[in-house]
Amino acid sequence: MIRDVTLGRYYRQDSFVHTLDPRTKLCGVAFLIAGIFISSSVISCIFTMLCIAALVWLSRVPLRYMVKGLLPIFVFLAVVAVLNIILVPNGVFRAILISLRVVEVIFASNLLCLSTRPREISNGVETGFSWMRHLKVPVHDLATIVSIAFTFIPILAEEARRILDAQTSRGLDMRKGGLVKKTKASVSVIIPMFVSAIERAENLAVAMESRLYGCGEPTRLHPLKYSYDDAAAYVCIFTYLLVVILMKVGRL
Amino acid sequence: MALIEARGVSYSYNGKQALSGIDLSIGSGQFVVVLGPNGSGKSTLARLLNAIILPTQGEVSVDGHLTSDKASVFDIRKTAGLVLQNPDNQIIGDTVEDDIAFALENMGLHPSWIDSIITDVLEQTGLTAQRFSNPRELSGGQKELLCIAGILAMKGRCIILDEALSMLDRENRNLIVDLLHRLNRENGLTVVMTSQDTEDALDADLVVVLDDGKVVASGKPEDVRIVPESFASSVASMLRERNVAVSEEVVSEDGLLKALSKKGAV
Repeated sequence: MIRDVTLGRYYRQDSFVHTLDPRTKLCGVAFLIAGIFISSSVISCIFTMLCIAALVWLSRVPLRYMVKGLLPIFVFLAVVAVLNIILVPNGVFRAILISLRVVEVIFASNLLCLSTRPREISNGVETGFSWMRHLKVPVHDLATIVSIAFTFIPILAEEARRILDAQTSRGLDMRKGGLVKKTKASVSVIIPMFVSAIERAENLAVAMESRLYGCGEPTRLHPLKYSYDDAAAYVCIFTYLLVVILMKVGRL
Repeated sequence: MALIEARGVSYSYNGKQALSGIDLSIGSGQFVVVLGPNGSGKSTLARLLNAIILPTQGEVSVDGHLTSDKASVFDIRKTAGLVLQNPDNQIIGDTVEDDIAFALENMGLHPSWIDSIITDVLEQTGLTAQRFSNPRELSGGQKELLCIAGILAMKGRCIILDEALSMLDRENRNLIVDLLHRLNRENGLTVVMTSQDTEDALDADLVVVLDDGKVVASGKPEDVRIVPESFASSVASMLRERNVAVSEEVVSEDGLLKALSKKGAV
């Protein structure tokens, strides 16, 4: 399952979505997620799903790559669906609705990661929220944290896989036994994982300090610039949200 | 005046003495190799020279700036850049050029300057073809070159490598050592390299041997004779691992030099 983590992985492609300004993509994902939570009917959920499908097609990211990102949360989705069916009146409808919403949120956030480099996301966050500097919010530091987090998700996933392989070769079997046994077994993966992550974080901090992090007001090699494509994308984003709100008001 | 000076430097971690009474003077343009076994204090010394940590006793100065002077910290780090052991833990960018740009962006340089400096250092390190590649997809040697390029981009006067070559195979290791010697010779770049590999010391201007946090020998490779028993035996075991025949007698009687020359001869 660790092998299926797609969050934080960039999929190199020359597409309309890839070339958009990261601020446009961040705004688009925020509006999509807002739209998903506003949607209370299956029709508006399907409308959102069609919009996301169009974006996936425009991004030219293979669908199997997007679906792969769903595998790690498949168990979570199944549990939520079963609980809804058992405990909630009209449960089947609720289960479908909630599952669709979760899948849509994951698709939207995955699409952002797969089509945007972590540094671009960080630039987008930093530039988009630069007004918060006046409120003494450390926007640059927060953007760097976001960038590092996205960069290190696949690296830590890879590290976890290596540790798991090492422990498996020493007799660990995570597939056998009950919940308690599996939880106990996972400790032998989690503890080395923590130790390794802390060591990495410490070394990264030293490397960043020695490369003058915090020296002064930083510049960017590629300053962000809006294009006409971004204007068109903003029109689509606002139209999407308007349609979802109208569906909600019209009880569609 | 020496570029880097350590005077009576000691450092302790949680009460454990990592370095004690270190005196060191590194001139501009020198190629210095700090040798020592695991736990001898090499990494601590490298971090002290980059003002990442401060000595508990004594003082370190880089280009006339004391590391204890907070106002000079960035000048020191710009003058003497530090490359760590594992490149995977120090690569920050999503592309090679982004990673090199990290320090330059922090310095607040104009994008066009950043771009031209990147072009220069990529050429110096032979990574021009990888400019837009994902650093995670590079080979181990290329990753190490990228880390070196990130430091060279700051246009400092010294580069400190903390066992930066220890994870590389012999071919990549030689490639990087050759690059460092070329930069040292042609650009006058001061190189301070910590290592466990005695072979690295053969072409150095100055060899400093650390053992148990103390300088036990320093000088030109041919002058370094006084080696403690513990380090001499570790040198011997390293040589034996590489199938170089060295008798206990040779190592314990004449120390590192004989071990080195024996190895060189083979």
